[in-house]
Amino acid sequence: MSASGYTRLSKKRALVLASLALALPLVVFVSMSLGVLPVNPIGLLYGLSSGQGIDPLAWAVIWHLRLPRALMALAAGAILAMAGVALQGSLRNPLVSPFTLGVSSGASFGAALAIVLGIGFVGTGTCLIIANAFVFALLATFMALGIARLRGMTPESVILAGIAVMYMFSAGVTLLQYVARQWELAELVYWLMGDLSKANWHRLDVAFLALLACIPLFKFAWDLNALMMGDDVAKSLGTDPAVTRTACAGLSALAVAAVVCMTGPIGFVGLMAPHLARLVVGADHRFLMPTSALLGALLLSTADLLARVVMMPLEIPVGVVTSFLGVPLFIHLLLRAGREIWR
Amino acid sequence: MAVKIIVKGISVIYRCVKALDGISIELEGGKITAIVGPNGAGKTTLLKCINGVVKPSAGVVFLDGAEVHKLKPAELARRMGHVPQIAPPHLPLTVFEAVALGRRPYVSWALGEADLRAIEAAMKAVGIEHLSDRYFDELSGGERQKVLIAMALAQEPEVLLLDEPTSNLDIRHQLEILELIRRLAREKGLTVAMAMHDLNLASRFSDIMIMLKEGRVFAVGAPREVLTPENIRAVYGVEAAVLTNPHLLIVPLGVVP
Repeated sequence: MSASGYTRLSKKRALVLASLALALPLVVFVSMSLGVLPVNPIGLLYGLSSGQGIDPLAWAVIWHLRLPRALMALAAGAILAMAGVALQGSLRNPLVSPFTLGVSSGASFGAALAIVLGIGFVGTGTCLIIANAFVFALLATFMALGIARLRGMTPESVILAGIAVMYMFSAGVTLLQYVARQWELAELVYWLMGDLSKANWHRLDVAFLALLACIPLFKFAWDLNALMMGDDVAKSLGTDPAVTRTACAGLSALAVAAVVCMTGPIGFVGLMAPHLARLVVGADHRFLMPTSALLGALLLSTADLLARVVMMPLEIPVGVVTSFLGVPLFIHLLLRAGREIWR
Repeated sequence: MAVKIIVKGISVIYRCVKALDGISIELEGGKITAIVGPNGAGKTTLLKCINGVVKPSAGVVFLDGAEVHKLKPAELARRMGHVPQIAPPHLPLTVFEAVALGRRPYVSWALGEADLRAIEAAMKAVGIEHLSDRYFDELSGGERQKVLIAMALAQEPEVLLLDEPTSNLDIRHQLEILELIRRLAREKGLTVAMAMHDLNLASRFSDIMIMLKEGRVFAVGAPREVLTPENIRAVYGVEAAVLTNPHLLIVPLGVVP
C-alpha cells in the first residue's frame, strides 16, 4: 500500500535523529579532552570513583571551563537552529535567520549602550551588559512584529519590518562605536564577534531556560507544514497564519535573546542548520525541527572545539569558524543535492 | 449526509472596492454548483467567504445551520475542503506527505492508523496511489491538481470547494478531473462548488449554475437557463451563439462593441 513507503521513510528519519543524538555526548567528550591541557575524562572519572584522588588542575579545567563551555555550545547551537527553522517556516523564506527580526542588532545595541555609556536597566559590569542586550533584543523583535501587525502579518511585512529595525539598531551601534574610547571600543568589538569562552554554570542555567522556551515551537509543526501551501490553503486546513507567525517569532526571539545576550551574535548556525536538516530529513517540520536542533548543537560545538584547538593556544572567534567550516560544507551539499529544497 | 450551504447577503470590500455586493445563494447538498462570470466578478472571493478564509463585511454563511465564521477553524477544516487555483510553485514534499497535510485538522503530532487509511483512500479516489513516494515538484500539472484534490479529500469533508480546477490543464486532464469531481459528488454525497472559466465544461459538469457580474448574482438556475445569448452578452460583453443539440455548446462570435 502507499502508506508503506511513508512508514519506511519515517523510520529512516527516526534513525537519522537517533544517530545525531548519539553524536552529542561524543562531541562533548572530545571537547573535554582536547585543549592546551590534554585531559583524559575517563581517567578522571575513574580516579574520582575509585577514590585515588585526581589532578586538581585537570578537574578545574574540565569542571569550570570545558564542560560548561561544551554544554553552552550545544544549547546555543540548538536554540539558534530551532529559531531558524521556525522563522524560515513561518515566514516561508529560505534567507531568514534568527537574526532577521533584529534580535542580534538589538542585543548589540543594548550591549554597546552598557559598554560605552554605562547606561542600562539593572546591575553593573557584565550583568548590565547581559541585561541590556536581552532587553534590547526583545525590544527590536517586538518593534518589528508590531509594525508587521499593521500590515496583517504577511511574511513580506514581517521580514521588511525586521530588516528596517535591524538597520536602525545597527546605526545606533555604529554611532556608539564612533564615540567610544579606545578600550571601550576594544571590548565592544570583542563582544560583537560572539564567543562562548565566558560560559559558566550560572549562564548555563539561563541557556537551559531558553532551551525550554523552544519546546512550545514543536506544537506548531503541523501549522508550519500547512503554511508551505500558502496562507489561504493553510487557513482552510484550520491553521491561523498570523497566530503561527507571531508565536514562532515571539518564542524564537525570547530564546535567541537569552542566548545572544551572553554569547554575542553567533552567525550562520541558525541559517545553515535548518537547510542541512532539510537535505537530510525533508521538509516535514515534525522531523525537521528536532533534526535542525541536533545539527545546530553539533555544528556549534564542533566549531567551538576547532576555534579552541586549531591555533592553540590562541583562540579564534567561534563565529569565524562556523562560517569557514560551514560555508564550504553547505555549498557542497547544496550542489550535490538532487532536488531543490527551496524555490 | 449531504449538507446545505446558505449564503445570506454577504458583501466584501477590498480597499474601498466592493468585491462582493450582497450575494445570497444556496448550495444544495450532493449537487455540483458552478460559479461563472468574468475575471474580477468575485468568484474566488465568494469561495473564500464560504470556507471562512475571508470574513465578509456584511452577511453570513451557514453550513447546515451553523455560522461558518463562528465555527472553530479545525472543525470547519474537517467539514470543508478547498482546492486552490494556484498550487505553490514549489513544495518540497512527497505526494504522500502533501496529501497528509489534509489531516492537519485531525492530528496533533503523529499520523495514526485512521489517518494513514484516510490518506490512502483519498489518493485512491483520485488515482494517484502509484505516485505516493514521488516528490510533488516532479509532477505534471494534471498530477499536481489531483494531489491538491486528494489533500482536500483527506480532510474527509462534506463540502468541496474548487477554484478553477481545470485551468492550466489539457483537454484530457480537464475531463478526467471533472469526471472525478462528479463521481465524488455522486458517490460520497459531497456538496461541490467550483469556480469555472470554461462555460462549456461548466455546463456539462454542473447541476446548478450561478452567474456573477461585478460582485452580484446575475442569474441562477440550470446551465441551460443561465447560459443564454442575452446573459452572455450582458455579463461578458460577448456575442455568442448557443447551440443546444445534442450538448449545450457556446460559440463565442465576437466582442460586443
